[in-house]
Parts: sequence; C-alpha cells; structure tokens
Amino acid sequence: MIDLLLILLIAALGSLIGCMTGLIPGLHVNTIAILLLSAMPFFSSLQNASILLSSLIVSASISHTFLNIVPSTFIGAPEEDTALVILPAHKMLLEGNGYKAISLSAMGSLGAIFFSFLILIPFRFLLGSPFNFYTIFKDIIPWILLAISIILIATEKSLEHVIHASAIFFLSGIFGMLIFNLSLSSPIHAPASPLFPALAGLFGMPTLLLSLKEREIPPQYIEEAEVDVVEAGKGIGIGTASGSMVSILPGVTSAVATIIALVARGKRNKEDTIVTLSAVNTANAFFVVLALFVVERARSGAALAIQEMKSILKWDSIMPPPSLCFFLIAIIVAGIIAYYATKFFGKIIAKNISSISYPLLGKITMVALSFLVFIFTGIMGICIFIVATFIGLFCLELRVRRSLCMGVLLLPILITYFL
Amino acid sequence: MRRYAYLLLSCFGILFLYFLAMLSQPTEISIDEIEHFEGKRVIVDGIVVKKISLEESESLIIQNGNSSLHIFSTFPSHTGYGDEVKVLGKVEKYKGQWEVIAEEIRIIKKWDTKSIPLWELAENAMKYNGRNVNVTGYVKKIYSKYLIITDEEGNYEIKVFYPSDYNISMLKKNYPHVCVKAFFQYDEKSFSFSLNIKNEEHGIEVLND
Repeated sequence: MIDLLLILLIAALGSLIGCMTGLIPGLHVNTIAILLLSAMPFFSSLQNASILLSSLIVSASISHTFLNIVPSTFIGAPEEDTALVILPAHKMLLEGNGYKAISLSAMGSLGAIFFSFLILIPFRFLLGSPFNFYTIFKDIIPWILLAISIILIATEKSLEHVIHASAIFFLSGIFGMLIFNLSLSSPIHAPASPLFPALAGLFGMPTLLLSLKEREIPPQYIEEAEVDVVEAGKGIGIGTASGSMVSILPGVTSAVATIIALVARGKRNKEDTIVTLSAVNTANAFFVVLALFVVERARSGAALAIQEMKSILKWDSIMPPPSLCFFLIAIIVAGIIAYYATKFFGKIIAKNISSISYPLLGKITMVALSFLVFIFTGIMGICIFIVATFIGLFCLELRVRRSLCMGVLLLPILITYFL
Repeated sequence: MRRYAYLLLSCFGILFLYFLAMLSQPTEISIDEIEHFEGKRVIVDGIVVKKISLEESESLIIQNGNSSLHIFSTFPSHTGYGDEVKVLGKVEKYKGQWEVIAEEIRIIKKWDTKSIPLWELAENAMKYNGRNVNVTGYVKKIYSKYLIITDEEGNYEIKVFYPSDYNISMLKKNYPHVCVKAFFQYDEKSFSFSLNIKNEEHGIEVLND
C-alpha cells in the first residue's frame, strides 16, 4: 500500500514543478512529463514508481494552470489556454489591479477543482456506461465549433465589423492551417509546437506593442477582489463544464474550451472573464486525467505520459479505481499549494512592477518573448511569430474581438472534421 | 492607412510561410534511417504486415526488406495485409520503439493487383508470411475444410483453407486453373504454410485459359 504521506509529498513536489513551468512562458508541463517518462527506467527499482511519478505529473499539470496567469498578466506572454485571458488581465494591470486579476484567476482555478469534484460522478456515468454519451458527443462537437465560429463573427456590432471579423477569422485560420505543416526544431531540442509562437504573436506581442504607448504601469493595489459569489459561481460552473467537455475530444484543446466558455458566458466584465477562463484551464487539466479512466483516452501530453507509465484500470463501477484516488489526492494538494503560490508570486511582482519603467519593461519583455520563441521553436518559430504579430495588429486596427484570432485553431479543426 | 499596411504584411507573411512549407516538404527515407529523423516529418514506404484497428485509431506495421516500422494513424487507412503503402508523418519514439504518426497513408499498390506464381511463394515464404497474396495454381484435391493447389509441373503445392459456407462447387469440375486471393501464414501446429480465405477481399476465381 502506498503511504499517504509519500503521495502528499510527491504531490507537493509536483506542484512546485508546475509552479516553475507556469511561471516560465513557453515551458510546458508536457515537456516535464516527457522528461519524467524518459527517466522512468531509472526509477523502476523504486516501489510503486509508476504511480508516484504519475501523481507528480498530475499535480504539476494542475498547478501549471494556476501559475501561468502570472506571466500572461505581467508580461503578456500567453500559452494556448491563457491567450484570451491576457486582454482583460492586462487591462486590469494598467488600472492598477494586476494583483486582483491574479487573485481572481487563482480563485477561478481553485473553484474549478471544487466544481470538478462535484461533477465527478455524473461525468463518469454520462460518458462511461450506462449512458455512453461519449460517442454522441464526439459527433456533435464539430457542429458546436461551427456554431461558435459563426456566433463569434456574426455578433460583431455592425455589418462592417462583421466583414472585418470574417477577414480576421479566415486570415488567422489560413495561417493556422499553414503553421501545422511547418517543421519546427528547437535549438535546445525541446518539443516544438507552432502554437506557442502563433499565440504569442497573435495575442501577446500586439498587446506589448500597444502598451509601449502607456507611460508607466500605475502602482498596483494589493487587495483581494470583491467577488459576487453568484456571478463567480456561474463563471466557474460554465468554465468547468467547457473544460470537462473538451477534455475527452480528440484534436480539441483547452483553448477551444475557452472560446466555448466565453460565448456561453456572453458579454461580461473583465473580472468575470478572468474567473471563467481560469476555471476552464484547470477543469480541463482535471478532466483530462479523469478521461483516462472513463473513456480510456489520453488527451494531453501529460495524460499520454501517465498512460505509458502506468496501466490504467477503467473506472466502470461506482467507486473510482485506487490509482485515480491517488491522483485526486494529488489534485487537491496541488490546488491548495498552487492557489497560495499564485497569489504569492502575483503579490511580489505586483508590488515591484510599478517601480520599473514600463516602456523599458515592455521592450525587455518583447526581447525575452522573442528569445523564448527562438529557444523553443527555432528560426521557423520566429517567422511564425512575426506573421502572427501582423495579424494580431491588424485585428487591433480593425477594432474587432481579439478572440477571432482563435480562427488559428478553429478553422483547421473545422476543416479536418468536415472535409 | 496602417490597417492596410498590416493586412499587406499579414498576407505577404502567410505567402512566405506557404513558401517555407513548400520548401520544408518531408524527406523520403528508408525505414533503417528512421532514428535520425526524430520529431521530423518524413515519407516512408513499405508493405503492410500487421494491422490492428481500434475504435478511433489504427496501428500498422510496415516492412521493407528486413526492417519494419510501427505506424500510428488516427484515421482509417483502408489498407490490407500485403498492400504497398507510402506513409507521410512525424517520427516519434513510443515505448522505446520508433513509430510514425501518420498524416497520410497512400496505397501505392494493392496486394491483389499482381499475382505470384506458386514457386515464388514457396521460395520466399518468409517474405510473404503474414500478408495477403494473390497466387495462381491448379486445384489438385478438394477436402471438406481445405483444398490443395499445385503449380503446372506439380513441383509445389499448398493447402487453401476456406470457410464452411464458402461455395466451391465451381472448382469441382475438371480441377481448374485458379487464382487464389488469401492470407498466407505459417501454422505452428502443422509446421507448414497455408493460404486462408478469411474475409470478403479473399476468394478463389476460376481462370479461363
């Protein structure tokens, strides 16, 4: 029997790893998962090595979704799942509420863990036996994505904006179809995804360029956000539902879940948007682990590493399999540690950021972001990054929704499904 | 004015990426070279020697000479054992073994397009083991579960197992010249190779000489 204390320790260690990967833009928890998988033979002599390393990956992937809001807010460097959260978070930073944005995001993520536990059993029965909605759901998702794309475009404020929105959506979409055909290679031999430079260019760089016009970042208020519990609850609920929904689908990432949540939530203020989108990311990481046991599918790099490390026992009764119970413990530990770590790092940076010259910080950040793009995706990544920045700037100029740039993911997925 | 500049730059950028995508077309390699192409997109060809169809994916093993390679595909390849295929995909390591995550699987030659004489099958049995083959020969004897076909000189012969509901009435007249499309495999129990009619693609056709 695995010692509970050992699981708690491993979960805490995993959580710290997740904090580190979350704070460094471009470094994904999947990279750590793959490294751990490669290191698996060295640990094989340890008793229960597979369950311990898997728990480490689970807790790291959860805490990563908490901490990645920090670089997104302060330096505008997005990941796939934080791309849409940059905009409200950055606005809040310029209002002196950067810490509040971080704090709201941490609350959204922690709330998502709570909600995810609430829908754990229904999720199991709806997607597994006896209902087996998984198959039906898989068939309707392309239609949901098509509807979302239409809603994104058609709900712009005027006909002119609708035309502009279509242009941005299709431009991003064509760009998205191209980048997946490019061979990227990282100079440090890290797994290179074209999405990092694409999203950093579409969402991060234009925000940074725009913020160069800002004179300074105002002093940040270090105070907790006052939350409307009902509104926050709705946001977390919708975020959790979207995150869980896409966790089981092949080829659909949590970035798509953020778009679904945003459309489902309707027009909301910045605070609500941050809570909802943060809930999506954490819920998605949670349900990706659960999907391994319910539909026996690995839907992320981390889940794939777990599947390879450990034989997964399908959850087909009421009681979860023992290994899932260990993972759930790891998720709780990771959630608590990451919640406080997010607020801790957010507070430190918020306290000091106003003492730095913002144009200088913006320039340093742009150089750092370009450097990270190069390190993780090489020269080809830089090319993608530049083109994405032009598309992002074009979108800003047309004054249409920035989320339309998510055509970069939506159009290739729609084409794969329908053609 | 600035918006047109960004539009132009975006379009030129996309065209430039398109040009780069054309330039970075996958390299055509042999199975032996696979380890030097980790993470790269390649084109590799071989003959399908194993196929496992799962709910949402397909796992193939292709062989070229003495080398074999695992292919993982998330779409149905519509291939059969013995088909010659060209696979485009990304090279990855899975459970310590090299594999290609397929983006496209093109059938170059269906296994049944070329018929093999019985002597070639006999002399290259290991090469054809585990594949669908199209063999020509003469029916020698018919039993309840199998029949025997032989070549013109009677130097080689092989058992062809057929399902109980398979109609063999047309074979009973004059022991005709036939073309057998079947799965060629080694039977450990009888220490011998045989042809097996297993699915709808397989069958025996009388040739009109």
